[in-house]
Amino acid sequence: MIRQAAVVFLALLPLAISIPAAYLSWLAFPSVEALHMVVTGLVWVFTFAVGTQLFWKGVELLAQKR
Amino acid sequence: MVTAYSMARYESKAFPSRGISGVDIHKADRPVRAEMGGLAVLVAMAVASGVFLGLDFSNDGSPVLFAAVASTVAFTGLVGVADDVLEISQKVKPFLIVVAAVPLMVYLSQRAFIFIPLLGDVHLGLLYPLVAVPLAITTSANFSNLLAGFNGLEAGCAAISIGTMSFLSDLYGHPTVAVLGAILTSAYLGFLMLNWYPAKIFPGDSGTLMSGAALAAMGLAAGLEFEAIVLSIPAAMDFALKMMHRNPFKQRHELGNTTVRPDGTLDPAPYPALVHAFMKVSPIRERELVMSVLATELLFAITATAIAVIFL
Repeated sequence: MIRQAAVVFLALLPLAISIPAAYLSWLAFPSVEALHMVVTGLVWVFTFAVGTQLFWKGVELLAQKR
Repeated sequence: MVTAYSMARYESKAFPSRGISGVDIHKADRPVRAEMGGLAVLVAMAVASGVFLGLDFSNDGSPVLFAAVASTVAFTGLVGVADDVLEISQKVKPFLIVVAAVPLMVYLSQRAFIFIPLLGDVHLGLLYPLVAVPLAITTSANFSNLLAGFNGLEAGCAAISIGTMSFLSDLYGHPTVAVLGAILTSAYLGFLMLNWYPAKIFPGDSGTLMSGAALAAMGLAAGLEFEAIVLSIPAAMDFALKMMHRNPFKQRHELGNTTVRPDGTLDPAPYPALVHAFMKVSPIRERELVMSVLATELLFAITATAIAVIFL
């Protein structure tokens, strides 16, 4: 039960990583608005993918400790 | 809810004998169950929407918004029905869903801004109706089509996400969108009564595509795009995990499906997926697995609600 709950909360990781990263990229690269949005979107997608990889690493660590 | 339940009950009895059926591979005895349960949700939505539009005498244009969102959801449901019957190619399906999004693209043709918390209003111009709307509908529909395959999972996630979006739409002053959301949530709950473990009927592509399209369409119509993205994250994570494999979307053919152990617990197939994460960390039965995924969806529903309330 605790392990299942840990996975549920671990699932917040991609969102927790990607939102600050996208916000920082928005602040860092002020430019034409549509292009700005595309850059921010790409940063968001990339960091979301990284967060999802970290989620899976976390799951594998939990599984090893069974 | 009553219409969806009655229709699903009829389908669960009539469809298997007509060949509209699938094997429940996560049961030891592998029973054959009715497919295309999304048709029950679609019929219930059509009946309730007809009643609502017939009784609505408001003169503010909101029935047009209701009709645009409902049409997009219904057309996506019809694409799902066609897919259940004819097995449409994966390459063609997204384009058919883009066509289904046309009513909403037309309705939102004058809108050029998207509101993103912390960033404010972002001007997209014509990209909003021509790119953002169809992309959101087809992406969300296909994401929800991937996170599926266990009794009660798809309908449960749909009820939580669409129910939350309905509440938020009302909070943001879009009661018509909220009514459509309430209709869809009740329809999915009515269907869930027969889809819950041990399921008598599966939603099929009609049920899964429609729930994703409904979430995105409601988010776009009510200007709650970011909250719709947050509600889609469990499905988006499942997609991202499946993309991690060297041969995305062919894992099931190469590595097989989740199997059932003699004690009833599930043995995950050896590739990343959201449901496999829960199976890997501790022995788990199908019903507990679905409860865990629904708890994840609920956590994101709470997160989306918190974001919406903070930026109200």
